[in-house]
Amino acid sequence: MSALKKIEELNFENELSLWCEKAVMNTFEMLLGEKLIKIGMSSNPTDFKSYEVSGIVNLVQESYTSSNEINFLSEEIKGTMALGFDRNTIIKLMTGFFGEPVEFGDEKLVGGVGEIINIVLGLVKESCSANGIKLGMCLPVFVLGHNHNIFSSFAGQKVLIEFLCSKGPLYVELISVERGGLKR
Amino acid sequence: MSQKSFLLVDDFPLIRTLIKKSLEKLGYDQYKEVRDGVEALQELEASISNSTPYSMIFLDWNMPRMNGLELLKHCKSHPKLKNIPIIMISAERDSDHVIQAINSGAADYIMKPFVALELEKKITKHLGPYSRLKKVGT
Repeated sequence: MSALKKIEELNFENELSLWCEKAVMNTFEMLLGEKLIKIGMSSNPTDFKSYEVSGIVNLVQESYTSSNEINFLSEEIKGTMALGFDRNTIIKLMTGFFGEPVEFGDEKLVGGVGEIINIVLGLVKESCSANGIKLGMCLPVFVLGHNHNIFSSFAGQKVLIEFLCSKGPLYVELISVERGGLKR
Repeated sequence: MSQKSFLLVDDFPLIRTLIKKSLEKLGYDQYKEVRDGVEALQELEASISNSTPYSMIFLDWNMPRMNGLELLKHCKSHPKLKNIPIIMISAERDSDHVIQAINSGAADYIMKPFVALELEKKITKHLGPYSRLKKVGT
């Protein structure tokens, strides 16, 4: 990915991208014993990838609005975070973890991706909270299929982060509703 | 091997496997896996009927059908389940969740992701180093 920009050159949700990157690296190391190497980062649409397995979760911001003396908790989707793999990488990762062959699409593989993205969201949520942003937890969804892409009808800006682990590459996509979608 | 038995409640097999690995490392081999609070409840009722109570429950927070907090509260209000130590395991990392779990009767709270050593320390803290001592003595 030689065409990728350096982090410093990106201005889209810079903090969120870094928190997400840290969350993914921590999750893989603690959960799967995989030390990730960050290969690159891009907001160029031509750099975005196709996947065979992905886990997707919305970033939902919680806020309180007042009406007279009653506070209402409202939730608003501010973006989407996706974790994408090719078939070989995720099968090798899950087979290594479970210590037995894991087939494409079985519960262990799908559940594994779901749990990883769920834990990553928990860590991102913690970083957001420490910086005055309240995110809620959301149930992840999974997509299995040859060469699928991640799209969002409300996409403002997108960031792709590429990592390499001992079993192959993996990717994180962050999509915001609009620039500066998360408000303190 | 110790005869202590464990109930692993989590909708994702990855975390259940992590817990199993830690249990086996400590010498425990009696465990049952279920995927949500409803299945856990059925299993706990069966354990009461069979007089085979669990020694410890590992309980995820966010699960379909019945979540971990609901099951925790049910167990703590049940005369035959209330003394089983329950370790809540969750991707929720804020103090509000920890306090809510502890106030509802959880013996401990582990945040995901966790390393196996952390889990092993919690097991030993609540059950004692039974299996390790037994192994040394055999």
